[in-house]
Amino acid sequence: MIDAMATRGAATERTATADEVLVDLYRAHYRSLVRLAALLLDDVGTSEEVVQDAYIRMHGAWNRIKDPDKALPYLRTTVVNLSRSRMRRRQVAQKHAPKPMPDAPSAEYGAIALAERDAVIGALRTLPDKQREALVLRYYGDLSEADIAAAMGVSQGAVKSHLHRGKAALARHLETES
Amino acid sequence: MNTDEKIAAILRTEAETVEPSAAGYDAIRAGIATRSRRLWWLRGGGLAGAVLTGTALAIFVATSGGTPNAIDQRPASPAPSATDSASAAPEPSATPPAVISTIPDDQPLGTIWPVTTGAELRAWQADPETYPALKNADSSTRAFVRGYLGIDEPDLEYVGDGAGEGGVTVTRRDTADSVPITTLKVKGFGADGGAPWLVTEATSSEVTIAAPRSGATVSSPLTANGTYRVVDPRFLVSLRADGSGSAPVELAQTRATTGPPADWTATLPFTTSAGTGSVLVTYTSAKDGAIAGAAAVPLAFGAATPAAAAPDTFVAAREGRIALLSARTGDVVRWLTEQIPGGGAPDPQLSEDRTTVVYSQGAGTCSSEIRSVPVSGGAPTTLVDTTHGVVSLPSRRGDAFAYYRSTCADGSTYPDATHEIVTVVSRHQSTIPVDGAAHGIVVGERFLLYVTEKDGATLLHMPDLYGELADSPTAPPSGCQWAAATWGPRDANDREQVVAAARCPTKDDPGNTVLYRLDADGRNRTEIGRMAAVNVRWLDYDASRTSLLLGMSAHVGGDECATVYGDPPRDITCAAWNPTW
Repeated sequence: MIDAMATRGAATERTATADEVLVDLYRAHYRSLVRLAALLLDDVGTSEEVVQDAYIRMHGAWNRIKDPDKALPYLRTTVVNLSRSRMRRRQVAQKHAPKPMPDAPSAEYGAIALAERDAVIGALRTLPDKQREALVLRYYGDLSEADIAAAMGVSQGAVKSHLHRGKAALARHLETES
Repeated sequence: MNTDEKIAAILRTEAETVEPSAAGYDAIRAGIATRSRRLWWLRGGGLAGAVLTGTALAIFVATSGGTPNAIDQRPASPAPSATDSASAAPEPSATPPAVISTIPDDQPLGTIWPVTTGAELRAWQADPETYPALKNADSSTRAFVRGYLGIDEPDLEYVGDGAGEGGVTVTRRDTADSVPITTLKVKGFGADGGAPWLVTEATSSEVTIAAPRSGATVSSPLTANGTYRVVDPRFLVSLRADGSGSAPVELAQTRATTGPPADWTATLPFTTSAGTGSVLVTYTSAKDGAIAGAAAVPLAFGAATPAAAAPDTFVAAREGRIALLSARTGDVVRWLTEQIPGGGAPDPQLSEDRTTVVYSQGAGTCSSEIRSVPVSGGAPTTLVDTTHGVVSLPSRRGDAFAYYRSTCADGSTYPDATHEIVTVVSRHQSTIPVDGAAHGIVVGERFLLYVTEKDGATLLHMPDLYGELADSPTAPPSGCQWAAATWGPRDANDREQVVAAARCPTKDDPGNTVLYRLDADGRNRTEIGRMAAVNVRWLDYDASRTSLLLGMSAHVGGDECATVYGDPPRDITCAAWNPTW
């Protein structure tokens, strides 16, 4: 009986730690991760599902992760992998129709022409998955090539290549709109 | 601004147009709860459950002196309001309660959702943080409205005491003069009448559920009925299972038939492996389509409604051959044919008894054959030879057989080709002229099913196999084109229903696809699912009509893949052309 209680107490302690990390990461990064996923995917609802799933997996894997510093990279990698999977699997949204991305630009960035943005975002969506992932992690996530490589599960050399090609493709649209 | 800065600014601007919904944290907690519940169920009544129960009982006796058969719950601090959860996530983990329920695992509690059995109650008591909203009546009703009724609106007003006899009445603030949406009866299932707080009934003054009664044990098909006071009502009646997922599982849904004197009725055939569930009746506002009223009662499912497991294998074309593939791994279990000349689509279709596959095979310019091959391996048999011209799309069921035939001369006269479908039923042969190109022929019990396309417009056909009834094709919904169809689960009258996929492109998604269910005569079209960014080309139910297999190609990448439709979907494999099971 004592052993059983001790075992249960230890399990409760691990869960509490996972919960603390979950709450901290939710407060600090949930919104930005949904936005990152929304750039990788094509609707907000699916992006939220992906990010929520990533948090759930992180919580479930806490006994393996243990280190809070590794939690965000774990989340980010999971979001990228799940987004890639969703794109490939064409996520079924049985109960909720996809929510379209809002069209209006924010006032803060009103200086950026809507047509140019539409062209670049449109071009981004047509890029191969890995080029799109690399660009989003670099230009929205502001990650280093090493961090991008870790998140994507590829080499830094591959990241350079994806970034170069993806950027060249987007640059063509920027030039066209200019 | 250089290119890097421009791209970064554009991505940031685009990203900042995205505002996550307010329910993110609750959804995560619900997902974690589901995961915990799954783990708990996996352990079943085994060691972990026994250890926790034994520990708990010992503490209860020591501290309370009560009987160990009681349900107890230490007072818990109130959980945050559901509407507050996005901006301020609740602090984690209170101390788990010491006393665990001893209600048998499978015993229904008479609650609607999300905790409905003794096992689930015990799991929650072991770790209330899996679903903290149940810690008090107020947050429990809010979580129910959002998670079960699917109403996620900030302007709801909750009036009443969850612990009181009158229940909690939910009304929209902006329609103060209208009737309430629902009144929720909430009960505490702790020994002291406290947490977990669970909804036992949802009632409405405008619609009542007379049958099934609250807590009834039901079997398929379920006949539900009740009364209503709404003018010109459109009731949606849903039968739901309380599965292991974070949301209730929709087993069946139908529009109620209404008639004087203000009675409604609905019949819902279903299969499920769940033990508990509920019937939910809703009606929507004519003004904005929002749910205007809701009533629900909890149910238990009889033992005679197990869900059939999806097949372990399926048949598809891969690398120009027909193969039996594992539905778990997508690996080839057995090649059924050699390389088929021309490498074209051989249209395989697996028989209902899963013993043979019919398929088409090119036999030179302007000629093809239809063959059959045993799934167990062996030599193919020719069913329709090359003297019949270009034949394809074979479908066979019992003694009925159908295929597509088009004329062809020197391979260059397609504009003038004639197209027809040949049906053979008990040696009686007939032909059905086809205007345009046909695809997806599926023989049903009495009717044939196929889609035609001409000048970019598609029609869904369900002609009589015997040629006795005129074909009256069904047009796709506005803005859509039919992509594929198959025979699906039976309706209340034991008639096969049609399940069809329609491609309904949107500005953002050319692959937006909607799944519909229709009566065998093409009427009563009901949306049953929605998919983003897909190109469904084939549909096939298994023999039990419980698992739908999608053959699709993504418009990004273009691979042909086999996916089991569900929530979530389960991809089996790619490079699988025309999957069938």
